[in-house]
Amino acid sequence: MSDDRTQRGPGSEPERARHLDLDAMSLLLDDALPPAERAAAEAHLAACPDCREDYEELRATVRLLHGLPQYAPRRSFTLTPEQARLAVSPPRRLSWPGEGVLRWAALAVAALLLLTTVGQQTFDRSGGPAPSAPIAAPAPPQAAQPDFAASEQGAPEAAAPQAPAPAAADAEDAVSTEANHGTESMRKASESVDETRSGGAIPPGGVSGWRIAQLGLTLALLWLIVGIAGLRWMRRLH
Amino acid sequence: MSFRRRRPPGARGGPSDALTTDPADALAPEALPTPEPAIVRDDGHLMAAACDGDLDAFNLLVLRHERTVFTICLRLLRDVQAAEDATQDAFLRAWISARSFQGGSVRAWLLRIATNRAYDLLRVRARRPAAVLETEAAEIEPIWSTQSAIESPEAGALRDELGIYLERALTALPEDQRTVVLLADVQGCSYEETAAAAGAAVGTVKSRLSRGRAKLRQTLIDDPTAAELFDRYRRSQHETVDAPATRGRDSDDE
Ligand SMILES: [Zn+2]
Repeated sequence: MSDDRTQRGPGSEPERARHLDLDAMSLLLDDALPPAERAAAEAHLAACPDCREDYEELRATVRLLHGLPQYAPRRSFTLTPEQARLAVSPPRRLSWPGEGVLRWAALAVAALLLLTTVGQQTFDRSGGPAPSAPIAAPAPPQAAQPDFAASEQGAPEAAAPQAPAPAAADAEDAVSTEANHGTESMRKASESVDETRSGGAIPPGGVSGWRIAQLGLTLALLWLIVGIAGLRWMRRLH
Repeated sequence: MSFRRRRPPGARGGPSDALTTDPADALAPEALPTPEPAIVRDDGHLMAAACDGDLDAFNLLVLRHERTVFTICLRLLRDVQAAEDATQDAFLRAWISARSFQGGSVRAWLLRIATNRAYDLLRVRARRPAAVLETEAAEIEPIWSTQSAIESPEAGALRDELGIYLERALTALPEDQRTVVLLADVQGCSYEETAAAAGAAVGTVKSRLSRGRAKLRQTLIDDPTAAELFDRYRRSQHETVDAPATRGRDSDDE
């Protein structure tokens, strides 16, 4: 025992340290102690009734655990070729890829929403409803005539932004007709001062374009979030 | 001739070179067409074949380990249907991810997949009231471990009674300790297998095991009825050690 004490009890509690700790008992049960420690532990068990009692109880517990029954399943779990094929080609077709796609879509829509918000503020500040104009274009019925006039001048919407300087005259025409925000948008943005002065009807039309876009995007985002949540729910049930 | 042929264990090779000292080459498909019954293929070989898409080889692994996997799932989930689902799902996942097998014990790898799946299911069902194992387990046939063969009938009866308390005590263990105790003591995995199946270091496994065992012991002796049974069981164990092995559980009805 004196050996034990010198080996294990250098601390302030020589009496307690001499006893076997739970880890040592557990390892001894599994025959997993190194030979030297094992000899010391067995010597201690032989001499210490307290530790021996603990050890015997632990041993009986482990023996009981060893004796717990194994259960035979009611059926076998071997995979049929069909199961194996389905499992390998599209694993969890229902939930995983679907959710991934939805997640990316939601991200994209959120980014678009952010863009439109930022864009609206930028263009509001500069006074023009420019980028929203294409969206709002179909709305005003009185835009038909000026549109026609503008295209007659050989400057359709695509060509217009590329040549801002010579098109200034066109712009004035358009502004004077007041409703041509559908086609000549970029130029109008540059002529914002004129526009805000003379074109009282334009800002409302532009703002509603932004709003429509934002509303649509928000709805889409909501639907996507609901869809993702629904998929998760279904997967959980599954 | 000069280059070294490399061939995965389950792969089909071409016509082998005429002279070779490698015994594995003697079993080339042309020489001996599938000597299946003569050779018990070990888990590693079956796993290699499964990686190459050999479903039959994989199903041999399923047959070999499904009882262990099902038993641990049943103990974790305490519901036969859920345990069956978890087991089937675990084998499907194992088949899908066969190539991710890194070597080592196939059983441990399967048990890791299965216990993860079972804990997933447990968390999902966390709000539902837990079914009690003894009522659920009555539906299926228990296969007693071989240890019962060397026990006296009295010890066997005591052990059965204590088993109910022990199962209950197991459910009260912290998750990490329960996993390790089930793997090592109930399923008989080695420390290394348990570590692989639990995703923990061997040192961690040892300390979890020791704490789990101590807690189970404490739970048993804290209950007066269980403590008395436990005491009698221990005494019967001492007798059994000296007495010649008695076998009677299978032949005799008590
Ligand atoms: Zn002691």
